[in-house]
Amino acid sequence: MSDFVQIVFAGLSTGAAYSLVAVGFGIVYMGTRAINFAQGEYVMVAGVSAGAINEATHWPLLLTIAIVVAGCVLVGILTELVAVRMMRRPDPGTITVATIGLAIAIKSIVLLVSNRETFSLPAFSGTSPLHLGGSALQPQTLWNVGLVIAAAVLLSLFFRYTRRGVSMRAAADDRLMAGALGVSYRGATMWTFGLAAGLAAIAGAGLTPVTLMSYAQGTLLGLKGFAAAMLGGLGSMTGAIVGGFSLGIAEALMSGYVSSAYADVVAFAVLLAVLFTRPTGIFKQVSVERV
Amino acid sequence: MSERLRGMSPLVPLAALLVVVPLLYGSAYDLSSYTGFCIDLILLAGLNLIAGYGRQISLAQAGFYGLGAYAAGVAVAKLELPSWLAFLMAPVVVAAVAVVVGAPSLRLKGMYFTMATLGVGVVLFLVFERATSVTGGPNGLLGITPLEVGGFTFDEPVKLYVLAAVLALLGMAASRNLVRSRIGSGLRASGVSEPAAAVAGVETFRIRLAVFVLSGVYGGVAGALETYDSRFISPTSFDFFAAVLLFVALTIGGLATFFGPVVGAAVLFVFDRWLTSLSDAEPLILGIVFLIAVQLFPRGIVGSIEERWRERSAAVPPEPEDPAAPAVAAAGT
Repeated sequence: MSDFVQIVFAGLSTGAAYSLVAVGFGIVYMGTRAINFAQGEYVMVAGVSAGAINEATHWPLLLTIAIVVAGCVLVGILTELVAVRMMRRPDPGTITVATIGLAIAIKSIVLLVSNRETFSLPAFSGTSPLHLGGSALQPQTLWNVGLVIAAAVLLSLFFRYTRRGVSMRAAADDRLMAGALGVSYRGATMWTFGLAAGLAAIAGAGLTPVTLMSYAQGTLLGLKGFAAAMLGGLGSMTGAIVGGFSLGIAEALMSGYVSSAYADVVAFAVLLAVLFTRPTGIFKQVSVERV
Repeated sequence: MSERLRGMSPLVPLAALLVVVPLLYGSAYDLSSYTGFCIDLILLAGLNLIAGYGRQISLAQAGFYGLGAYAAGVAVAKLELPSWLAFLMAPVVVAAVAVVVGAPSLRLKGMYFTMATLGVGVVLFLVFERATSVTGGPNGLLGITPLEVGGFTFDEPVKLYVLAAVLALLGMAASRNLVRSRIGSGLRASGVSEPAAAVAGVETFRIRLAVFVLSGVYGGVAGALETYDSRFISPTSFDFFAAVLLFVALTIGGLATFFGPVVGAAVLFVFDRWLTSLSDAEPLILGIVFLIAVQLFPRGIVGSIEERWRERSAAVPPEPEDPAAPAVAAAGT
């Protein structure tokens, strides 16, 4: 039993990262109907930058993370500029494809700049494990789960009670009408991408102490976060979080009980299962599409 | 019959290209690159069928390519089957897998179908990378003997090139035939408007499944060729970015056009040849090129040319000079 609990604990940190990435996918999807394939790269950039800054300067961790999150938000805004604003016809398909191009570019830039190095970050509050019922829990895991919960709460409040949040929801729901009422679509998309990137940056900062980060890690992470978003239902925050943790735990279970080599396949097997049975995901209503 | 033959006319310049260029620049290294060009051409021709004419964007083509390559490679290196048999097995294996994954995937609309093919492609890649005892894992598969058919061994680059070129031409001919047939019309109709096609009696699902499987077969053949050409295969050639790259190259060339795959393969060829020294920067440059190309040529290079052509021929020719015209025109304004 304690083995099982141990394995579940192991899956929570990656699950937390998947959740944050999934929420980011949902936000961009709701705002633009496009899939932002650069999500995973944001996580990677955050982790690598944080690790690099920490290595070079040894500044207080909070400062490093704050800088990195701000930087990633800028990268997110850059994505919006390239994928939406600069496109002649920003329809969802074009935006999606543009984000793929951008993801490739970001990965390459980090590859060239980081020289293929792997980076690590010190755990936020040390590595002495907490002992719960015969299993060891890393404090960093608690941090990661806590960050997801905090992000979820803050985002809910943001979307419900702030002017910007409400206008983003309006723009997502009915762009034309919202525009007629004075909501700037371009402003909304910029916030959309910025938020998504910020969430991914937090995920990266929390994940790097657990699994080191290098230029190559973003892709698979992003794709798995996407699978988590699809599992929960694209656009549903609850879904994204449930999906993310479920995927993280499922992966850990696969790794612990069957074979760690194939743990990565779990996310995509789940993705296919979701698509073939209930494409809209667990938490989203089956929608009727206009043909 | 002559209509059929005339329809084949675009094959002539393609055949000429495939014959003349190697005659002019035919070093062994060049021939190897040209084989690569033919392999890419076959891949893109297959992708063009489902993603171009069928308008169902598939990200599984790189996975099918890899499946064909590994099927042939494993059959020859691990199962020690005769190389010609392994070559034939490759497209069959891919076709079987394509049917199994295509059937549930094609029930999905647009973006969801693409996501399903994404999943399929990534799963295939992960299997290639992780099934180390079978595929050699990240270090790749070695021990592939040259292709041998009835005593004739394809051990020199030129022999393999001829095979690749012939297969590429056959593939393009078959594709052209298909597109111009009733099935092709049904495919294109389904792509433009599925309900309208269904109402008109087109069996959209069946046609799409058949074309999806066919595109997989093209991928399988390309994979087998690659296995015997480089005699070494590794999973990185078949990952998510490879799948995207194929679609990007085809888009730049021109979706749903005959020469689109040719231009797309040429783009890949150029990038491979001239950027091998900057291989780390290759994806970056390709990403940028793609972003620019999508802006400048929304219909791809060939598509834009075709559009320009159509506009020219549709333009109304100027009226012949008429002495009374200036007065009439002046009265009219």
